[in-house]
Amino acid sequence: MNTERAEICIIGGGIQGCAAALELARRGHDVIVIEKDYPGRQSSGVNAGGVRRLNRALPEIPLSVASHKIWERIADHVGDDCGFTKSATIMVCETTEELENAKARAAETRALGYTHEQIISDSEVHKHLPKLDGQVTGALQGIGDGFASPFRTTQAFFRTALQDGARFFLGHRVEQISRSGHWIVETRDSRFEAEILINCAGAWGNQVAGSVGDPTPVHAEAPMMTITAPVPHVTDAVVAFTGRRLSFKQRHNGTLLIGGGYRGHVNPDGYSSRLALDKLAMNARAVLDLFSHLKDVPVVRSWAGVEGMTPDHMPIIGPSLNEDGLFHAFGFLSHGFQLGPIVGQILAELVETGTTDLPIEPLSIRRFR
Amino acid sequence: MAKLVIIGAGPAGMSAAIEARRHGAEVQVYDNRPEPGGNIYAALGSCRAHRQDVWSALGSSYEDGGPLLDAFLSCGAVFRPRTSLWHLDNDGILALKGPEGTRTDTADAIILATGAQERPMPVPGCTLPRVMGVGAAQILLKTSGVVPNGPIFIVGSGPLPLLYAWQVARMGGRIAGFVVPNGANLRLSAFVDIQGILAGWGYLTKGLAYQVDLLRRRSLIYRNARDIEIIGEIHAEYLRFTTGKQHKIKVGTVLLHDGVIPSIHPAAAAGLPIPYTPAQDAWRAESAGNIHVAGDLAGIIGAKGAALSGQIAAQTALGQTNSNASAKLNKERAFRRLMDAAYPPAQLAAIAPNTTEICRCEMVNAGAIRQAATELGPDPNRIKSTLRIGMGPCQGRMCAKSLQSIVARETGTSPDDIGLHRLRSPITTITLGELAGLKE
Amino acid sequence: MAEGIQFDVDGNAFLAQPGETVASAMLRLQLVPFRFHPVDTSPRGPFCMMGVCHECLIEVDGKPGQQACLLPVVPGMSVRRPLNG
Repeated sequence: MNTERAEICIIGGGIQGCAAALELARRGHDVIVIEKDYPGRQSSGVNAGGVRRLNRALPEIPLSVASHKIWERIADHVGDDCGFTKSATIMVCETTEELENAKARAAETRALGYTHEQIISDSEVHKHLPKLDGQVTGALQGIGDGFASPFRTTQAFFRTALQDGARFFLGHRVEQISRSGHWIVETRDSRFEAEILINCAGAWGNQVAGSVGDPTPVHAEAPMMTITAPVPHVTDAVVAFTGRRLSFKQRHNGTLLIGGGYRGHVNPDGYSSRLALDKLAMNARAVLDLFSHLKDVPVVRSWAGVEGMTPDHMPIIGPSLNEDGLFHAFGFLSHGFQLGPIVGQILAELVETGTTDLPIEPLSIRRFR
Repeated sequence: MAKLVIIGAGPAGMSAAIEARRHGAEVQVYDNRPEPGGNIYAALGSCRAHRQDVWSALGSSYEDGGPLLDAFLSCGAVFRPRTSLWHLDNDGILALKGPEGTRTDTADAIILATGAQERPMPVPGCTLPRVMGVGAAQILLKTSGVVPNGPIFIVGSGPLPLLYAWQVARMGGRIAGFVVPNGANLRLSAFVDIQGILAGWGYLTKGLAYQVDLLRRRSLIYRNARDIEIIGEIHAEYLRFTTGKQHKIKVGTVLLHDGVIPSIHPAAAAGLPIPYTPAQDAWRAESAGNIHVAGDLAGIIGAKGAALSGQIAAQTALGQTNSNASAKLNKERAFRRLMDAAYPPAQLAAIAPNTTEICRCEMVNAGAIRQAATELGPDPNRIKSTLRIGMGPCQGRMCAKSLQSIVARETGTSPDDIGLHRLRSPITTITLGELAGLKE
Repeated sequence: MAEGIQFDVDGNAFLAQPGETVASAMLRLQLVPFRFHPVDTSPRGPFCMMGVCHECLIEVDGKPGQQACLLPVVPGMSVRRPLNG
């Protein structure tokens, strides 16, 4: 059996693991990443690509804002602009009540000192959605938000981490984790030894955490996405609806990327997923309720990516409570892509100093004890 | 009563339906075409009824389908034409669209008999109108009685061009020339399997007859052609290639053919095993759980073998003991081995110039694939995610095989080790309106 | 042609034979290209005639993206080639 030794071992080569590897390698650490497939195989590569601070849970906002600063100079960071495009990002309100709630939300974040959320009028919403059937009352908009290409982004972090000296073991599925002074991570034909272990295993983060005495209530989910053939202009914005399960954006090539939190089935193997056709049909109906002219638009493909979800829909980021030399960053369902760059930095700071300037305590695994 | 759903009404699907009805099963057959028959017997019913001239020109290989079609139409199976499968789960849930709308269906057992398609033969200019597959032109003949614009040049090899040329001749038309790529054969030359020869004697004499006829018709034959290229603005106008010297020929139509491969996409989407068969340079599908594969999908076998294989699949699906169909199928397999050896594919994809479009939907050329394979390695999913190859409406039906050939050659990987990219539903296009209207 | 099915392509009337698909009728009538490709505007026509290649996508009775090779011509059918890309 082949044995590899390093200072730091990261499990999971998604955007979190790649960002952490990049940050640590840049700081001169000897780091290895164990990835069961290849970077971007799961949610990091197939998510909706939203680079959004808008409507984050309050504890996530400081991280999201800090991450956005990295996104602003992403090409300098990873040598590729990752397709990052700024675009109006709006949460559309259809009723007065929804708009009042949005206004309250904007006021709340402003009171906390953040300026990235503001209310726009119904006529401005219609400018972003000229073909919308029906009335709107306004929207909450994220100023400066946008979207990027998820697979390309994850590959860029991977490639840059590799160039900066991180070692990747792709196609290695972790079978066992143990400790005798240092951490021992075993895959089918290799053994990895490291002083520090970082769990970036996404939907399988809880399997890793559970096997080292940090069980969490994270479970696997498979949010579904659908992409259409190119269509004439529908919107220039990244759009979500406050009162409906519907979100979409139109990409540069005219295709519509449609989601809305409809979930497919995670297969019993825990690694693959299947579509839930009834929910997919609901997603299509949600589109046509508001954009009836899209009924003849061909669907090119639908898919479900497996991700981990916590009960409060916020990720777990921070040190283990039981073991020193162990850090977690997983359970990001629908929130992780934009946060990736800053999570890498936070993990590097935790490894080096045991602390970080960003307020991560609300995201600690402690809340599930 | 057991409910059996059959996808595809070619020889395998029709024969499976007949057999299943014989055992009393409730049988539902879906096919995306207007009429049963598959590729080999495409439009047989309407051709026999309405196009006497074509019917008599097509010859025995087509006429042979008549009794099977009649038996199918009277067997009591429910046939739903123009109905496409757009989703099939490994848990056996089917989703279909057709004249009755968009709906799901389930069954005690499913037989996939999705047949074969022509092996894509990418050459520069192959996306131009008036460039088609030889099999496509043959379907045009069957459905319309049409021989396309001349002069017609066939680029490729295999038995189908010979049969088509013979049929065109009987329609009073002519194949102006054959361009045989370097490495491919136009005629039977490898008598490798004596059992196969005996088993296939009927086919062999037919094959020789075509060739004699071909020579009599005096088509031009260019062998060992290289650097094949189709040139035109709005449709194919010239065919250019070298055979030691340079040729540039005015054409009306170019027909390409490099053998046939199983139509594996629905089977792959359902998660069935998709092994690679080196002797046929193709993937095929294997049965798993309550999803059974039959006909050319299980490995190219031809119409007779497909019908036998359909019969066996129905017996297996219904838990019946096999009849003597298996022994007959083995004879067909022996003959097929001979044919496979006699007509090795030219595999032009592997040596396609960098500018050749491999993915017709997303327009990804051979050069981009070679570069991606060098940088990312041979995993087709990584190459797909990076280049968007195979992500357009055809879902990789026209590029997956070529991608495999190019990547194998470029990275020095055995084709065996390069799987098919992951497939996403819908496996054929449906609209948002059709999806929204899904009935359970 | 004993029986004919009347249909129109881009506003011009034509006759189809029983059993003809839209693709085979249009090829017989020499109506190529069928469309220009959305990615690079290159001209396209039917290639496989068996529902595989998705090259023959045309608009039928106002509904775009139909596979002409799988669709039988029916009386009064109105076909439009999306030749503007």
